[in-house]
Amino acid sequence: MSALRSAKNAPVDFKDKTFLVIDDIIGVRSSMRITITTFGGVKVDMAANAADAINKIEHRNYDIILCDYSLGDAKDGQQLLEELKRRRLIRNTTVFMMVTAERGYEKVVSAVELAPDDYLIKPFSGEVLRSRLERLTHKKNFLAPIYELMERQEMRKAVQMCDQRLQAAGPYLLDVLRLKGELLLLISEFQSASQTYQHILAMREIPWARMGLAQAQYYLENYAAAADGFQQIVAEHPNYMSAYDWLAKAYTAIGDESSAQRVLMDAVAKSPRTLQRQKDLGETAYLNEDLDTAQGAFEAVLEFGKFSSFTEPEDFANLSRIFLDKGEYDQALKVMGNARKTFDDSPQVMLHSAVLGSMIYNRAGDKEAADRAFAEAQALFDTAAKKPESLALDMVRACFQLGDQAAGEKITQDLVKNNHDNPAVLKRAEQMFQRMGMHDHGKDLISNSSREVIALNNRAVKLAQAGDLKGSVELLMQAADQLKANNVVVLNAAHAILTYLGQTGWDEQLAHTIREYLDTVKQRDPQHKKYLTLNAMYKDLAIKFGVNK
Amino acid sequence: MTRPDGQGEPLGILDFASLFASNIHEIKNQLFLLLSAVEEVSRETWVKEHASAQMALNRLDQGGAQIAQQLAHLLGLYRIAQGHYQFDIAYHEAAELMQDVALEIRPLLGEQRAAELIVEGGEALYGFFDREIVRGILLNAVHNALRFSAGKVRISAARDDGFLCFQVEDDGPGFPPEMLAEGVAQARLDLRRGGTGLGLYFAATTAALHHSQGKKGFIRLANNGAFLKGAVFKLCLP
Repeated sequence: MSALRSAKNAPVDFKDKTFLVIDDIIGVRSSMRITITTFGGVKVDMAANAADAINKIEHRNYDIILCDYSLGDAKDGQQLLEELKRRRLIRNTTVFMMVTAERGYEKVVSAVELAPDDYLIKPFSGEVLRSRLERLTHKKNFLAPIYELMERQEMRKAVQMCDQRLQAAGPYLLDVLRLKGELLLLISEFQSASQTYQHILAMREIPWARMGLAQAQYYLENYAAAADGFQQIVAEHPNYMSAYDWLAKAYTAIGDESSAQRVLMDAVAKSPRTLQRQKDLGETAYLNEDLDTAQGAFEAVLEFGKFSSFTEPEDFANLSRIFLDKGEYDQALKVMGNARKTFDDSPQVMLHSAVLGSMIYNRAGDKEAADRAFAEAQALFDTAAKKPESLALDMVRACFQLGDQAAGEKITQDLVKNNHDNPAVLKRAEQMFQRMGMHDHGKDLISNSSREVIALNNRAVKLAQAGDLKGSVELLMQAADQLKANNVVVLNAAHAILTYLGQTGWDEQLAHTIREYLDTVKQRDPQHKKYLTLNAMYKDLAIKFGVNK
Repeated sequence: MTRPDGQGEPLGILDFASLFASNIHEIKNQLFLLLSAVEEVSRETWVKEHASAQMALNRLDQGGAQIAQQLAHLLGLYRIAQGHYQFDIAYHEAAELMQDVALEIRPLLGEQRAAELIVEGGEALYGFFDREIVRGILLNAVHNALRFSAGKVRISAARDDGFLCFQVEDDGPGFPPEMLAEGVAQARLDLRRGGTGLGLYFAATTAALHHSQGKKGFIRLANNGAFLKGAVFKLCLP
């Protein structure tokens, strides 16, 4: 089979391949279909725009997608590709070819982050198209064994398969190395990832390899080196937008929030319609006490997100909080009024609205309305399904403002314990206490709470090192049950049980607990790196003990 | 030259450049429309029955393709000068690129195949380069070679002193001696070879923009090629 797969010049039979042609001009679509039939393709579907294409792709698996870059005035081809990848609508084995007029070429090429498999500049002959598609099909066939393992979430085995395939990679050398680097980052093997990317960079300075290396350095907590790497990409490839976001993250990690804000402002000026980046800018500017910039960014989130499903009640709360801090109470209330309209008085929006309302009325001097809102907030908070960090922080602030100090401390402790390894959240918490004029009290509260989690982890590690694996497992399980919202703690417990089972043999009840822990994290973050690693380890272990799970 | 608003003030040199660039783009689009009309005509049965008509259409087709290529070079140089061009350096096989060039050139040679294009080597020979740029350079070199050849043009690739080198050779009379003497760095106006030196200038400029670990790409011109005894155009990339 592998001999067949590496036959890179063998002709491809296009008769059985499914094609999707996406172009807004009907004449172009039909002439493309004719071109495809000249080299034997018969299963050809057409789509006139992005929405049509998504609909077709949801209902049928395509082997080859030919997409024009410009699709009329709605989404362009690049945005379509991004959505398809984000929503995992196309498989890794699908060939996605972008077709572009010369004028669109630079836009296609500079979209280095989520690139199509190849692009073709109009006009081109059927022969040229056939030849390109043949090569891409051979490449996908060569990489297929790696893709198959990735699809089954067996990332470690996929890395091994990369190493195997590297020996005969030929024209696909860089493709295999790139996949290997991405997989290593995914399974948190940052040292190996960094070696892989350095190996590529020794051959040639390539932006995605520089990006990968800097990401590995970031995860290895070598923030200064990471920042240098991201900085280099931004300087040489000003359109590589995610490098800006990472550079800002690296600056934040170093503690240089004003540089982080500057970088995000540059990025937002180039490409304002990215909601997440606007949110990051808003939060960073808020940390920097630059309320005007924060306001602009949070307003942009609402403005650009108006017609998408990506905004949340939290986004309205972010803006309302700015008006509260600026003393513009009517504005602050109006924003939350809009939020309630937008989200049809859902419990989540009512909670945000009550929390902010209690603070706004309190500051505006309407004691009665403030107490009413606060009582509502407390009732809703206890039963809330989702408690984003900003909501918890608002709730803490409301508790302290309205005199329920004990409740405020309790929420702070929970928040810190669940985010003890997230410096950004801890910093926001600390700053909020500072704003309330309670810097020292807040700082103590935060460091004591996170120390508790760290101490517990350390105790478990010590027990394990002393040979008391069982004791260590029990301690970590106890912690996981207390701190269900803390991915790190839950996964540490799962990891400890896995090691324990590996040494002492299969135990169905403990295995069940592992699955429960893994599912908890999966629901919150299906791409969590450590989750993916442990999930693979769990599957391997089950196979080893002959358990069919 | 006066401004379109009739103010009578002359255009600045930069305005001129962008005026040229956008017009060249339009001209290129119109040229493609003309070329597809030529293609339509050449499919007519009566054309296929008349060898002279067919040859005339071939000349139109070939000449048109070359003009289109030159216009593309002009636009490319304009974008590079403006700092807008995004280099897309990736890992490619030399053989694949040469096959791409052959796929574009062969239909232009006409059904009688008055000229022959030979592609040799380049398998399992890889390099880092901008595919569209190198494709443009080689297409132009092959167009030129075809104009002066007696019937044969050969493209090949080899590794040479750490560089990946593409070579386009023909069996024509070779470059005029003064052209070789001046060297390509000059890339001067040369009406005798039909062009304005634009192709060479484009090749020399974009080759040099391929750089790695202190090495820069370059082009070389020579005569008395080893295989076809004519002009030799060589493009070397680090």
